[in-house]
Amino acid sequence: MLLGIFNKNKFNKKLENSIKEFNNDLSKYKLSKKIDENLKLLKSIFKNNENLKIRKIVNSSNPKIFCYIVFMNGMIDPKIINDNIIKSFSTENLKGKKNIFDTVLTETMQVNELKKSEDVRQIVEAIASGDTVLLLDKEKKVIILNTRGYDYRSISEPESEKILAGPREGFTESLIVNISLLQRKFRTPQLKTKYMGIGKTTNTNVCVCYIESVVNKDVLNEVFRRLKKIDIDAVLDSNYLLELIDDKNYSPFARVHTSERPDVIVGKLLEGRVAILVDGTPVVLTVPLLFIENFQSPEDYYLRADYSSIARIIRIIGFFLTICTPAFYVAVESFHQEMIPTALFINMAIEREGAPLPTSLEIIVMLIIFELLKETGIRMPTKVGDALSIVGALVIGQAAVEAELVAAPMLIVVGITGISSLLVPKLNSSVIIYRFLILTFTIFLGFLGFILGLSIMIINILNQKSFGVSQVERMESWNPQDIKDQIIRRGWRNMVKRPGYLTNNEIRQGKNR
Amino acid sequence: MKKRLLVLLLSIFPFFLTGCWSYLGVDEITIVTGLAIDKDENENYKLTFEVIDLTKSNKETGIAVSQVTSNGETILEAVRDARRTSSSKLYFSHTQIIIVNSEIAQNEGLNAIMNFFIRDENVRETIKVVISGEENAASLLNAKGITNSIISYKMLEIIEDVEDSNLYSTEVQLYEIINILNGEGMELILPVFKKVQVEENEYVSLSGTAAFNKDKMHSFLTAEETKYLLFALDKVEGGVLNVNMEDESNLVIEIYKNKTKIDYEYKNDMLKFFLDINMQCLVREITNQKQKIDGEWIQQTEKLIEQFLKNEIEKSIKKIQEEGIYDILRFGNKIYKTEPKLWENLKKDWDKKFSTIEVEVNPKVIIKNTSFTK
Repeated sequence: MLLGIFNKNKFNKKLENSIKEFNNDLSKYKLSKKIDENLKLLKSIFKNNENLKIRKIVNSSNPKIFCYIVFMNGMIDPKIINDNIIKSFSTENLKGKKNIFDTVLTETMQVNELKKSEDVRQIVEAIASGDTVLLLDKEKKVIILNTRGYDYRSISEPESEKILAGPREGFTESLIVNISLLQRKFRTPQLKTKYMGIGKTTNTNVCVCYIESVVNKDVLNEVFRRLKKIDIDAVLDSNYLLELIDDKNYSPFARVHTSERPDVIVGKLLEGRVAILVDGTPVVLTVPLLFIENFQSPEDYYLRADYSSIARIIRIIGFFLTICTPAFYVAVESFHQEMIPTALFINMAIEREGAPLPTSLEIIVMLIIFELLKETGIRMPTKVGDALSIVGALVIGQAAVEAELVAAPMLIVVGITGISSLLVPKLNSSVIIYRFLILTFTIFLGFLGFILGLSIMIINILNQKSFGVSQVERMESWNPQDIKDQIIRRGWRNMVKRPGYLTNNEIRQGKNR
Repeated sequence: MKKRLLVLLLSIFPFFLTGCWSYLGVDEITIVTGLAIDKDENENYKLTFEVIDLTKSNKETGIAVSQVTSNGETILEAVRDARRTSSSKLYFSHTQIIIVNSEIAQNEGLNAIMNFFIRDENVRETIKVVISGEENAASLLNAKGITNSIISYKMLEIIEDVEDSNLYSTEVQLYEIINILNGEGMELILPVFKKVQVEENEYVSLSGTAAFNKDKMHSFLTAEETKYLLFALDKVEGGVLNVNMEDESNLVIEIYKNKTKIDYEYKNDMLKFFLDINMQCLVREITNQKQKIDGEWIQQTEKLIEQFLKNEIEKSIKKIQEEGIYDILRFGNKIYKTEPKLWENLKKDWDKKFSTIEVEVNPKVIIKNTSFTK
């Protein structure tokens, strides 16, 4: 115990030191008037990084006027550097110009985005993210030129969220491209974007997007507050942020929505939510998350409302089926045999005759085998996956029953559980946890345990808040507009207002008739 | 802290208060579908259980049944005794029928044998009780079922169907027996099963009812007698009726709707009961059709049926009155419900008084349809 506290303190001290070291590292440096010293400084900062390229450019009109450009190889667009920086600088007539720095800044450089800077930290950041830094002699400042250009995956439909109707585009790994995918949908200045760097080592670009007129200011402030508190070395995927900004809570249900589809994210923004985009990942986060969003599919809004409502109801049934079926089976089969219709019960009893394991153990084994199969299937290349599913179906299904290792009704139960779990991919992890929890309760207490477990789950769902907004709206606060996009989706004509618990600016549309 | 402890305690209590939290694997139980109660030579109860034989049942041969017999001085003792032969627990939740030996019903009464079944937590209160028309109740379980290998379930199907198919008997459930035995001014009738021989096979068949005086069986009633008594009991929901015509031909009608209104008149210490039968029926079969079917024929036939019903019902009631059967028609209950004070006076020697009651049957028959297609 004591040792633990001691170690923790030691660790904290170490952490503090390393943070200090890292921050001081750059802020203690200052640019000088001598270009050689400045170059030396940059070289020492990027020590051992052979990607850093430094090139000297001499002006043709006066060989005494020269500059150095510093950039990171691979992060830049060579065409801009060749044509718009090197060519411009060497051919420009700088002879007799009084202030060469300003001339270069305003006239010579033919680059869309450029600025001057004295801050070593900013300069280093710029080089690291693909900008080119231009150093002039006898100047205590440098010019940062936008020459970013690197390859990224082209826009394609996300594999994980394929739909039949609606837009086919998906986010890529580039933050700029992702923002542009959102901006394209607005031809108004309504979309707001706020950038920040998160991660001490990676300084990953993170962008918070929202729509000024509809966003819930409380949620927005909360998002910024939580993002600013993050202190981590690297952010490689939005899930890092998802976990770090999430409420401290042991509930397995998600409180942050994730999607790879721009249309989905814009839809969420328009209801007053806040989106968080992270450079390097196509997965975008939105908060707050209402529980019903787990059952919503982008397709719901691209197909007829009545059809979408049916699909949504089926998804909700699937959610309860996949959680409850195994436990219900155990309760009925091992505790309350009088509940089953006689003919069905006799058939079940006949099938169970000769099965070596008790029902409770059998179902746990089968569920674990199912999870194994599912997990291997997901990680396998498609062709291997197909073979795997055949082996799984044959081995687990037919052979096990024929060898009388498991009873046939068990396979049906596991089958229903498995199939219906695919209906709500967003809730996969929570579903597994509650399935086993309720099952365990049921094995000990029968239906009593079943209801107990189910109650725990429902209380959990009802109690959850995402960024201060409760995930399931309580009866007392319901107004008819709020429930038009819940279990049943009404047509667009009927959804006159935005959900009131997400935004204060509720009116979505005028009279359409 | 105290509050938390209280909440914790309160949430733990339900576990101990519930009665159904014990794990009972399907392989640990023997499913009993029906049972027969007889007496053995030592005057002990001999129970014969029809159970599902899980080892012999499979997809090809269907469900197989076998029998377990046991003896005991009381029913529970006999049930426990069965564990000597059947190692697993006898499970009564899916039991549908109890067959009682007619001698036991006559000599010992139902109260003694039904007590266990009412108290047991697994036995359904909707279980059907029947009387064996055979000497040995267990022999019914040896019969062969048509389209159902479980003979108990076959009997159940026959009983459930009887009130709207052939009116040979009536369906009585365990809880109804208790209600009737403890009720005011009503006596019990139970269905009776017999075996019939068709070539080599023996099948079960419904053969009428057994009338009870209090909880002891008095006598058997035939299927034909039962049929007309059911009108007095207002238990007719459908079924066919064979009307014997004067020229010895038959007219078969199907009852479409029937409602019997029971009323009585108490004057000068004399009771008179009126049974107003409102029946709607369809003509289904005419064995000797001479006349053209028209409005006149229908009117005549309605009259004929009314007369026939009146005769038969009055005859049947007269018969049970003469035989000394108590009030199985539940007339006393009718008085008890409408005039409790009067019932208090009549109650004392109702069993005797019942045989002197005058009954007047007034049928009103409407032929809705003659199913006649030229």
